[in-house]
Amino acid sequence: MDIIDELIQIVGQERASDDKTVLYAYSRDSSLITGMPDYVVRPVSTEEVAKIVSLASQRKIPIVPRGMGSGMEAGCVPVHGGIVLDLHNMDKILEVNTDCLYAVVEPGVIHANLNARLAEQDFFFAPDPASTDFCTIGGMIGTNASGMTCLKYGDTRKSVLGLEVVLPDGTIINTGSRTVKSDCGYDLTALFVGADGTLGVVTKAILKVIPRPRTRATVAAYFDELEKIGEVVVAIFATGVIPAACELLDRSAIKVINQYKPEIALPDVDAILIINLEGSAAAVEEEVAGVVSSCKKVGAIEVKTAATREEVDALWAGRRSVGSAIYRLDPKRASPNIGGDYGVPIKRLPEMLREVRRIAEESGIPMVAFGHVGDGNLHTHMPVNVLDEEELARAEKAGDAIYEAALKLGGTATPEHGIGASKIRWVKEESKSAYPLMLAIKKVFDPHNIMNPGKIFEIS
Amino acid sequence: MISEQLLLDITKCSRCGKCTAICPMFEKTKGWDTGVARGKLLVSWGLARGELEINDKLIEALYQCPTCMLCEQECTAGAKVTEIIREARALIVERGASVPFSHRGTFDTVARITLRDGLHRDWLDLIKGDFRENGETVYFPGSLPYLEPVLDFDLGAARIISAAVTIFNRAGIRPAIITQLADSGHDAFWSGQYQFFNALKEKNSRLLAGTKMIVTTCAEDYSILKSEYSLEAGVYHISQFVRDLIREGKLAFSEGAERVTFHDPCRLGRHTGEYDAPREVLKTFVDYREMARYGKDAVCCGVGAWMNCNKYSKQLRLDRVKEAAEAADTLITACSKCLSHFSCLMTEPEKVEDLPEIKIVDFTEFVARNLKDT
Ligand SMILES: Cc1cc2nc3c(=O)[nH]c(=O)nc-3n(C[C@H](O)[C@H](O)[C@H](O)COP(=O)(O)OP(=O)(O)OC[C@H]3O[C@@H](n4cnc5c(N)ncnc54)[C@H](O)[C@@H]3O)c2cc1C
Ligand code: SF4
Ligand code: SF4
Repeated sequence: MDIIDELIQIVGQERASDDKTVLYAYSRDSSLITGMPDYVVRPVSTEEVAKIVSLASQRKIPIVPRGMGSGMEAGCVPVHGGIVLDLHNMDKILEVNTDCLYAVVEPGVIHANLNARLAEQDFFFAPDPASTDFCTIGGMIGTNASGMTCLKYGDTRKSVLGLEVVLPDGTIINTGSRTVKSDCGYDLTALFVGADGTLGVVTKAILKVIPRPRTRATVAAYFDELEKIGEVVVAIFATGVIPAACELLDRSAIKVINQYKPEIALPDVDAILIINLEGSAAAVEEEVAGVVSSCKKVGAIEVKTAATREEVDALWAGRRSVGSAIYRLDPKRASPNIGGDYGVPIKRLPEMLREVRRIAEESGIPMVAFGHVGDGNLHTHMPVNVLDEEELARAEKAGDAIYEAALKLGGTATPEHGIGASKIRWVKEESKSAYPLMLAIKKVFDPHNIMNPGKIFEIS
Repeated sequence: MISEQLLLDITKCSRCGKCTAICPMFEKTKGWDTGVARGKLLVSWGLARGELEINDKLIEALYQCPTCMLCEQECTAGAKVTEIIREARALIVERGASVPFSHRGTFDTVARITLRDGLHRDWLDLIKGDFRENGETVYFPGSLPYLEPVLDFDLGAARIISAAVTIFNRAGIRPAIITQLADSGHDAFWSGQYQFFNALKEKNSRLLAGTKMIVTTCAEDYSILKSEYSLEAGVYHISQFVRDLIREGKLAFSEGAERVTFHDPCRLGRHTGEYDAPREVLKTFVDYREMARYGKDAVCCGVGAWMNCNKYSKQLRLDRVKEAAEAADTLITACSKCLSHFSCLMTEPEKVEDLPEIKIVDFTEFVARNLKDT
């Protein structure tokens, strides 16, 4: 029987396709890398997933899990063809048990929908990618997503208690438990998180949920010298405060926000730090005082505690919009993810940002930098005419130079957005002697390399 | 013709996926990525680059979208979603494929007939009020008179046109109804039939040359005349015209206790930015209520330009009517198409589960009905 007929037999006519137009819509994610699938399927149950994976295993064809395709590193792009498993229809929140601090969800649940449901009980699932409205829990697990608040609450890996996974041969396994702690042998749950779907398809997740902080305050500090950024973050930590978020906008990002939303009217300075503090009212008050004095001590030109909800929302909306707003700067230029996600030890942030400015100047490609400086994670965006091959190649070279600089400063080229197909080179360079062990682990799980091939490693 | 700018415009879509959380149609289809702006733009790219051939799914991807503009309004990257979709439709048309019109394409055919002069316009006999054949102040009924014979329910075309004339007359104006005016071309334009649209535009522009003011009752006609024609005359939607007359003290209303809500047609709201005028008018004489989603956040009636009316667009419509029923007893809209789609839904109570009780009334008719002698 043809593969498409078998897929139709498993999920029905409506949810399996080999139509060229449909396939084409799955040939990309938020990155520039493309790959055409041979089939796309939208399963709705673990059983369906298991049957599809078994079929792929028998026929030795690639199988590529996909959440909402908002990934930035081509994790869900079928670079070697095969079956794309579009999991967004597996979107049920199966259990919410705030008394015992967990929720059980299917992989296609949208992050914001889960948090809306948990908010009814004043709880939340802490990892917070900016893509909250349009990324799935499965995708967050695949990429070990994190966000602005991961400094305080940790990345996705820290909040996953257990998983149901369909392995590359179609068997279904469970890892972890509904308890906050579990030491049951090797931490397979943690291994699946951040695996970019290369070890199995997550079909259920037990997530740790925690009470929502009752009070939140925002401090904005303006600096006329980028150099002070690393110092100020260290000074804040020294007061015993771990902010819920500590975000940097450098001069270039300030300009973009002011152009996109003039009403936010950010001042014309070299760098702005936006700091969020969360907790009980008394703790937040004390932390705000600590943060304000740290910023002043290091030499901030101005420190503001946003007075109204509107002011706070405007600041954060500005911060969240930077990446996409860059698309609006020039009618000919987009801002694809090139050299977009890297990290350095906190104290070395100013050096890194200076490197970015140097690379921008040398390459002739303007760059906008911002990021989660509390954990040393930066993002760079570059306006590029993607139809201009020379300009695109120059931008890609500049992107590589940024990652090289991050590694030289003792940092990482793989902090937040996963590896996908675009950061294969950096996994090898960064993991060094641990690399063969990672390859060996992949082989144990997936000897035929059918599970999302061409991601994390390129196995010949 | 594929312009480089079209390709560059498509690259403005960062493929972030934000529209997956916004598109009301995708919320209903919950289907393939071709059902959301991101997928439609990628398919447009494939078509423009010659990587995709036209097939049924491609036509569905590019036409199952009422171009409501909700995604475009919220798109941080500023992708011109509706314009790109329309350009891709034009490529489909250019390559000879047919547009998936509802009602067997009858409205398209009727619009084509209006290109011809000398048609028998017997509908004019049904219009009450004082109007003339030519003049500087024009009332543009658009395709309203032609909708009714095709639909199998009472849309009230003659009543709406008469209501418009009544409003003019109350303000002391004898409007011109130029019988030879053709269809505005809104549907031709948005279905990607540019050649046909240009013919309609050319004919209408000739007939409207020298006029000073054009008032439309349909939001689609308003948006197309305002944005795609280059007319010397000022173009107004009737809600703006009535608002100005009220401000000038030329109209008065009997106040009613009726709870009324307004559905923003996407062509009046997001496409041309007019949210206030209908509200300002209605608030002068009714107990005005807003729906949960209104103004720039309003959800579309489900169909644009008579294309792809199906179970999903019907679900959207039903949701909207239910939302209205939660807020009010009467739903007012200011677009002949929204009116047709909502009215159509209400004609089939036996086929639709949980159809709420609500009156659907056209803005112009509602205004005229509540006019009081000054
Ligand atoms: C505007 C924007 C802002 C973003 N902000 C952030 C941010 O702040 N922090 C951050 O970390 N990321 C961010 N991202 C990147 C991206 O949104 C996240 O990585 C997100 O978690 C991906 O989710 P998704 O459902 O779209 O996954 P996809 O892109 O569909 O998939 C991502 C990876 O996960 C795998 N995968 C998906 N589902 C499963 C499953 N059920 N089982 C196994 N593997 C699976 C895929 O194979 C792929 O490798 C952002 C992206 C955009 C466009
Ligand atoms: S159309 Fe806009 S919102 Fe949708 S994916 Fe593209 S950039 Fe994102
Ligand atoms: S224009 Fe409206 S229907 Fe079309 S893709 Fe955008 S939100 Fe969906």
